[in-house]
Amino acid sequence: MSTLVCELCPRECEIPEGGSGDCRIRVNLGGKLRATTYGRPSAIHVDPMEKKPLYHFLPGSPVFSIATAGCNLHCLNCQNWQLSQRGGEEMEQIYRADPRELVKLARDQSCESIAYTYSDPVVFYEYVYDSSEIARESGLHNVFITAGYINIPPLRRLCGLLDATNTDLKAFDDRFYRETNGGTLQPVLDALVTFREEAVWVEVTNLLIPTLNDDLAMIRRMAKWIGRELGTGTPLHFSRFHPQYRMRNLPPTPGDTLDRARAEAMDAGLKYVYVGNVVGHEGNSTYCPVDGTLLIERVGYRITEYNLTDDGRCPLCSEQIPGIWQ
Amino acid sequence: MRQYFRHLRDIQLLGLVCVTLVFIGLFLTAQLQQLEPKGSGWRRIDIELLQKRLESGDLSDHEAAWYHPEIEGEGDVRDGEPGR
Repeated sequence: MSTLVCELCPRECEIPEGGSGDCRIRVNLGGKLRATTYGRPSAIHVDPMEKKPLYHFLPGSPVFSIATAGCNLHCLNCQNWQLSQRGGEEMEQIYRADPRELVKLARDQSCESIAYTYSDPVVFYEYVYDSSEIARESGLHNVFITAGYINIPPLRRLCGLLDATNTDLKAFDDRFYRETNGGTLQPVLDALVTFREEAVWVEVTNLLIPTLNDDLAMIRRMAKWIGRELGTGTPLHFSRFHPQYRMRNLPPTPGDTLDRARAEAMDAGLKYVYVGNVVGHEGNSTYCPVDGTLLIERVGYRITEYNLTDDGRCPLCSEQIPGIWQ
Repeated sequence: MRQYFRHLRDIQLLGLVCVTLVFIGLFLTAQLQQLEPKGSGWRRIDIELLQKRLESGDLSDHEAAWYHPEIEGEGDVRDGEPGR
């Protein structure tokens, strides 16, 4: 009976014969570790890039978005828990799409990119890797929407195939990670730095949960860290919490909490700080950090005004806005 | 006699409070254990159902990357600590 050690994420699960990793989908069968959801997504949608959210990466373009069952975090407020907190064998809906078919489907839907998203693509790493290779050969972009709970060697290897990531930084607090997500903070910070080192376009999302991670001093520390380690041009998205799954005891994030967090992060030096899950908020849009010109107006996931030049500059002062615009 | 019964009722009430506190304590302990990150965690799964869905092609037996057989004593060294 051989026990296997999974090296993919910081949990490094020791998996006995017939068991799965903590993620539920990496299974020890006959002394070999099997990626049981390889080529078997349970969610396939075409989304706007803004839904990921990626605001500085091919704005307005459709992105072919997929996920399989399983996750290596267990967030009490998970919005995709029916997908992420189940193993493949528990899923009613499973599609069959090997990497080549997946890329063909994306192209048939006129998508320029594939997003590995919804649950956490870390756990279906091999499927992401092989699909990304074929997607890149076909001229498609690869987008990795993740909580960044992954070991550095596999991440570094994958980065060569990735174009952009939105990484969830759930709080700048290890205790929060342990109590709310079942993980730890440092591996996520290391992953973010690795993305930057490997020249993957990085945007960061922070879901603000009332009383748990909305302390302004912590938000300031987080913003300072992002500015120092990833650059002040890194977009930061503050997202509104809605009570769900195992966290129904807290109210939705008040609007002024989001406003204060945005002001704090901008005061700490970040140039592009957004507010998400609040339709019509001025923080949905992109402004020039030099002269305040409205560059991209968004209402929800829709772009209603686009004033950037073709090479991504402010039309008034020619400030270069960081991002991948076309 | 009346005093005896009042005393008995007090003891019963005290007992009920103690039992309730024990149940609350057990519930909280169970919840906290659930919240702890599992460093060397693994899960029991419905292996029969998995095999069935593998055979039907609903799931895949593609070999994963990034793993190795456990070396003797490896688990003792890590001692279940998450996040290196």
